[in-house]
Amino acid sequence: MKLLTKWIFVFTICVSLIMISFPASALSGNAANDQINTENKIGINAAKDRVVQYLGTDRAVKSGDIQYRGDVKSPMGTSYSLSHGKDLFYINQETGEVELAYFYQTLPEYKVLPSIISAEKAEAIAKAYAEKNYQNFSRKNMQMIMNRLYDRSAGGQDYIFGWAEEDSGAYTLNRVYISVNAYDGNIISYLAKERTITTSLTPEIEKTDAIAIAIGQFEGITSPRAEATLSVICLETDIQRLAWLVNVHGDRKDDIAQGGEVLVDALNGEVILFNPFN
Amino acid sequence: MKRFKIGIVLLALLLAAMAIVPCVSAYRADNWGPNYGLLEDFSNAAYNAAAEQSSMGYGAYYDSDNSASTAWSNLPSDQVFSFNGHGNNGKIIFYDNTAIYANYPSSPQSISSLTSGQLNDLALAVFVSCNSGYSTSNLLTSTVAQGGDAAIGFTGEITKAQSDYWTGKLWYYLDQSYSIQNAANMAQADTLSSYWYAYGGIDTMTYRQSGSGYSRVLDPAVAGV
Repeated sequence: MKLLTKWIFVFTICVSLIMISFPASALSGNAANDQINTENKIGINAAKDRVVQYLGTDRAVKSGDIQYRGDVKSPMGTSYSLSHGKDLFYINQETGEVELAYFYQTLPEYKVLPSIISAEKAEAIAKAYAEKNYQNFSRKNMQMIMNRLYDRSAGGQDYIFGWAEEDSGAYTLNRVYISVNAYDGNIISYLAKERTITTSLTPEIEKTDAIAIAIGQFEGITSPRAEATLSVICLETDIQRLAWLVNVHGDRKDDIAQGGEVLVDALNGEVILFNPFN
Repeated sequence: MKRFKIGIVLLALLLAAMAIVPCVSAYRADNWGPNYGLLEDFSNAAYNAAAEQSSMGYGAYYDSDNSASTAWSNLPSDQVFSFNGHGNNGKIIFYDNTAIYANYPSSPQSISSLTSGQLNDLALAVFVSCNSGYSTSNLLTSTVAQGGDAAIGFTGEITKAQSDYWTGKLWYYLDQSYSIQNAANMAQADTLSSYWYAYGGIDTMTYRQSGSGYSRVLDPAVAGV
C-alpha cells in the first residue's frame, strides 16, 4: 500500500504539472505580440497593420480590433493567422504580404433567388481586386488558369478566378485565386503567393513520357485519357520542383471514377505524388 | 496520515475522471474512412475528423474496416456522419465493397427507404467521395429528405490528398465555431494554400439543407433540429 500511495502521489504531481502547463502554452502566442524583426520576420503588430492597410479606409478597422490566432505553416512558409471578427487573414511572416483573406459569409435567405452577375462582370471585379492587392500582377506574365461559376445549391453560387505567372512555358508559384459572390459581386476569398523561382524551368522529361509514367501508376485502368501541364510545385518546405501535373481519367468501373492526378518530376521523371480519385 | 492517503487517492481519481468525462457525450459522431489497401487508406482522414469532433463535445468514433451494415445501423443514432472514401452520387463504398445507397430501394441499405424523419437528429453529413453531390438526386438530397439538417458533398471528381486535407480543415474550423458553410469554404481555401497548384476537385463542394442547416454552428456539439 505504501508503494501504491507513493506512485499515486507521483502520478498526481505529474498530472497536475501537465495541466498547469496547458494554459501557459496557450498563452505563449500572446507573448509573441512583442516580437520584433527577429529571424527576418515581421512582428505581429506589423502584420495587424498590414491587415488594416489591406482592408482600406472604407472599413475603418483599427489594429487593436485584430486578433492573433496563431502561426500557420505550409511548405511555402509560415504566416500569421489573424482575424477581424470572423474574417480571416494570413500574413506572410517574411514579406508581410496578405496571402489569404476570407470574408465570413452570411448569405441572406432569399425568398426568390436574385439573378447572378455575368461572368464578364465578375471577372472584371476579380481582376481589379488582384491588380490592387497583388503587387506585381501587371508586371508579371499572369495568365488566367481558372474561370468558373459554381452552383453550390443551398450554398448559393460563386465564381472562382485564378491567374498564374507563365514563364518559359511553365506556370510558376506566383499565383492569385479570387472567389466572387455571384449575387452581389463581393469578394469571398483572396489567395495569393509570390516567390522567387529557384528551380530550372526547362523540362528534361517530355510531356508524352510524363503522361505515360502517370498512366502507368493506375493498375488496371481502361481507356486512359490524360492531360498535362508544366508547373513549379512546392510540397516540401522550401523545395521547389518543376513537375508535370498529369490528370488521368479512365472508364468508370461499377460507375466509380477511375484515375486521378500524378505529379511527375519534369527533370528526372520521378513520381512525386500519386493522388487517385476518391 | 491515513486521511492524507485517502485524499491523495481521491485526488487521483478526480483527475482520472476529468480525463474521461469529455469522451462521454450525448451526441454521436461517426467517421468512416475505409482502408481499401495500399495507397488507398482513408483512415487518417476519419481519425483527424474524430479528433476535432471530440474537442467539440461529440462522442466521436472512427473506423476503417467495418462493413456498410455497421455504419447503416448507426446512422439513425448519429448527430454527425462523415465518410471519406470511394463512391459516387448514388453510393458510398466500404472496405469490403459493401455500400450504403442514396436511392436504391431493392437494397436494405438505401437512405431513401428510411422512415421519413429517421435522420431528424442528424446535424451534418459529409460525403467526401467523387461526385457525391452530382445531379438532382444524390446522397445529399436523400439524407436531407429523411430529416438531416445539412449535407456536404462534391459534384466533381476529387483527389485523395486534397480531400483528406480538406476534411481535417473542415472539422478544425467547425471546432473554431465557424458555421458549416464558412468552415467548408475556409477548408477549401486552406487546401489550395497548401497544395498550391490545384484544388484537386474540392472546389466543387455543394450543399443541401433543410431550414438553414448549413448556417449552423456545431461547436459545442448539437443534434439535428
